[in-house]
Amino acid sequence: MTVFINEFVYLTIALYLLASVIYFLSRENLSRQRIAQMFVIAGFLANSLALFFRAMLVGRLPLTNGAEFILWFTWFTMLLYLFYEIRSKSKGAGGAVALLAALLVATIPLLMGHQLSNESALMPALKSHWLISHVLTAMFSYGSFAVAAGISAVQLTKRSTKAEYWIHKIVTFGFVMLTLAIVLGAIWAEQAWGRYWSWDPKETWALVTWIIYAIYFHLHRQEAWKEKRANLLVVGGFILVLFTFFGVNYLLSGLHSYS
Amino acid sequence: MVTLRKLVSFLYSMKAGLFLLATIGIISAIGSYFVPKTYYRSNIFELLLVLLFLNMTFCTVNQLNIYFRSAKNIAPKALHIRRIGILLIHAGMVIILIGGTMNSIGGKSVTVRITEGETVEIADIVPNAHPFALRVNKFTIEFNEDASPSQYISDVSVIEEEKSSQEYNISVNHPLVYEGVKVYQSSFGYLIDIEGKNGTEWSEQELLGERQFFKIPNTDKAVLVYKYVPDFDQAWGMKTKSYQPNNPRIIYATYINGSRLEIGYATLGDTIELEDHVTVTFHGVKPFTGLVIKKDPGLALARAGGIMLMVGACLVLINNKRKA
Repeated sequence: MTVFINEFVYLTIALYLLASVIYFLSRENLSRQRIAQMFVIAGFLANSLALFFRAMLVGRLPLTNGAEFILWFTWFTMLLYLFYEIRSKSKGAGGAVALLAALLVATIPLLMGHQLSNESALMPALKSHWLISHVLTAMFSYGSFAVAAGISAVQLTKRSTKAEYWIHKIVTFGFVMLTLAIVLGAIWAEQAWGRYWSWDPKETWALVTWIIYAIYFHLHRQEAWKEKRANLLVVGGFILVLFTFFGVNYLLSGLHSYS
Repeated sequence: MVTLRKLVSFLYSMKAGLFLLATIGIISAIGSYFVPKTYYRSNIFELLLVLLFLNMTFCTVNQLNIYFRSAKNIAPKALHIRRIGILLIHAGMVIILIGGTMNSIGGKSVTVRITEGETVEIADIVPNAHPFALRVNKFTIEFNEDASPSQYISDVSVIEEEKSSQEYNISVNHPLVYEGVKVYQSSFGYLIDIEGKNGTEWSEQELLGERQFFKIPNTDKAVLVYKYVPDFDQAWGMKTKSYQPNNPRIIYATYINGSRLEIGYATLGDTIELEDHVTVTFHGVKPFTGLVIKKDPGLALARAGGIMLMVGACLVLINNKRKA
């Protein structure tokens, strides 16, 4: 089983990476973009299978360590991206988003090699029915911010009003999910540790991320902030998301050290 | 007067609110690098939170005003839902800030170590709490198949005057809630039952925590009880192989005049001789449970605020169909 997981992880990286390259080289040629989309779908299937085999190995929804979260993170990022691509009929951001997903999955063999073969049981603090809702809402928010950042990065070079509308919509969804993830986490923390807010680095950085998107919404209401500066804010917000994940896990220690 | 009024009106503006949010974000981010939690209780940080609270209260009241004024007009229903959602998010944050303040003023949270059979008076720990006593009957660690701990359970009795005592299990993620007091399973450890003897003239038996010294009076000797290891294995060094008492050892160090002589691994019941007629016996260990005893008068408000925040966020999502 472990063998399968690692193989699907590498396959996911390769397929997302290929999709990204084809998107970048497609030069808006529709049939080439369609091939790229096929690679995204194939990568998404490999990503799903990696999660499936991991679930089979541990006998539960794999939601506890960093590598498992990355797989969910990219899984939802690409699912949301496909939804966006089909609904908006624009494929311009595919290269950026697929590259991002490939790099994220690549951090598993680079930084968290042992985590997908680790079969140890859940520690007592994680044995809670809040686990699923807290981690899934975090995954929805991280994935949304990733897609929004990918579209925004492309917006910086090639502007379209339709994309602006989608960015705002996706950031809204991500922000709502981040709000739920933080509040659900606080309710859980109160039950497990006796404090709903401890200024643990993960909590603090989730709050910092929440604040930057809150600022985005307020500024977005003002016309001047609708274009380039708003796009930069969405890209910057996603850098904070990445820091909340990697920076806090690898540079700061705290209550959220599960990996 | 004019400048004061200008200052107040600036404080109530959205610009000030965003400025405050950004400042709080930056200061929090810097603080995450420093471990001491006192950072977030500093006057400057608290002042920023108070200013944010004032700003957001005004903003919420203002939004309510706008909402009721526009409610008379026939605005699309979807827009109404969105507005209520945004209102709930702001009001929820204000209420969380009130709840948090109530906790930092009137709340208390203390970690206590209680050994099996010991009773603590809650009122001695958390002032103004409903008077009752808590006795720890038993502390148990449950294990997974791979010998890692699966749950820590304190079996306790709540003893109240003129009432028969009630039994509860406190475990991680399952606190005891009793008359406004919450008790959480937080940690565990062992006290070491140690007895010193100096010939026939002196002997003393004590329960010592890990890393505590046991001094022998009228000599220059002392014993540091460093650590209890339930499952000792040479390959694991000072770490325990598992939490099951398969091969229990007490790691100790002997001291003379404050400098270390040697490190030893005693089995339970072992007696060591420090000098002629001076002995130390490790009789056994007594597990203790670490419980957090907490009273938070603002918890209900904070929870209400959190729920408002979540409901508000979901309402905004229901109406996420704004066309460009």
